[in-house]
Amino acid sequence: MNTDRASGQPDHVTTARTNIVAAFQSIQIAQRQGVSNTDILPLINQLNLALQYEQNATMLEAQNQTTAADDDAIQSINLSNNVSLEAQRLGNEAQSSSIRRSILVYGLAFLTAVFAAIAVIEAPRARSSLAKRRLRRTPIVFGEEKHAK
Amino acid sequence: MRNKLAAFLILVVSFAAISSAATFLILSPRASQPFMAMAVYSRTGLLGYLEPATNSSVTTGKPVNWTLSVTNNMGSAQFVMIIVRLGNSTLSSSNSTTPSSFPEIVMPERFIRDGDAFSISFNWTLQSVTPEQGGKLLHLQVEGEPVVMTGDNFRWIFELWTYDLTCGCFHYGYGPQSASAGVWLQVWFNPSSQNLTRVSITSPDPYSHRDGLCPLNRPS
Repeated sequence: MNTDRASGQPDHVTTARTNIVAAFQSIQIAQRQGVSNTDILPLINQLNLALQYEQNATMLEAQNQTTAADDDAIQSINLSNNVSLEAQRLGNEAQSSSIRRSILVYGLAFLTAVFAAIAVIEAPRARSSLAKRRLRRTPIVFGEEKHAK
Repeated sequence: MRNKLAAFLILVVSFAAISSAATFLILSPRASQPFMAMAVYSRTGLLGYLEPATNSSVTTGKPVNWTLSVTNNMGSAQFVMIIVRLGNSTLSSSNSTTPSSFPEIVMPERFIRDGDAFSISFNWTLQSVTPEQGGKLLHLQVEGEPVVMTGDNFRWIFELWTYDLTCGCFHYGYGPQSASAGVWLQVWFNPSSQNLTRVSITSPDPYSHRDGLCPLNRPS
């Protein structure tokens, strides 16, 4: 693995820390977009692992073990990048499903309102037609027949 | 016919407003008070939780194993750091707005999702106590690292810090940096170089641990 760095380029440990913070930001955005706590759990576990690698890398760097420090930092960078991508994917999915759900629920609410308005407007007509039908079905009983029985 | 249409439209608008409001109420997340909490505990109970640190002697050479626990109920994942400080009588402790100025001994960091709690161990050993003018000189081993402290009225201070994405830094307590709520704990201890004399009960007395039950009142 090539660990040479051009001057001015941030080292792997610094990049690892930056990427961990970026991944955390992605998780927070994903949560705002509606990702559930259950879906967040594996991302948090991965991010904690990335944090452990980053802390190891920092410790090794302080002991001048640059190669080992870079290895751990790169592991951390890979993990936090994966977390960022997964959080963005989950966030987009959650947002689109949330939009779909909102359209469906508000559509149903509007349809309910339309049917309720029709019911109120047509209630007198429906009542009178029911009364007419009931009247039509009622058998005509003549007075003489009734008395004869 | 025109009147009927107008009445229909008015009814549709009214019912739509009512059902939309009900839908919004159903879809909105329930309001809750965001908070974070921290606890320190051990299997055998904590030493000297209150000042003065009576009945809280820590003897040299005996490892003390504590567990720090943090609960997140902020509604989103949090990046937290616990700053552990060793204090003496020279400076004041933390309060609800300001952290303490004692030196940081360890600073474990962790991500924690909403509604979850994490625990980490905090192990330390008092290695030696040397009486000196104005107090004592302590040599400790904290999480494998040597720590030296002088003075008196010793205590461990635990502070909860959270990461603020706006400033890109940790700040004391939780919530927005401008109005954060400080969370801290402290545990007092009396360093002692002598071994504590313990009464060893080979046959456990079932009444010995009961409060307020003197031997005369024990059932025969």
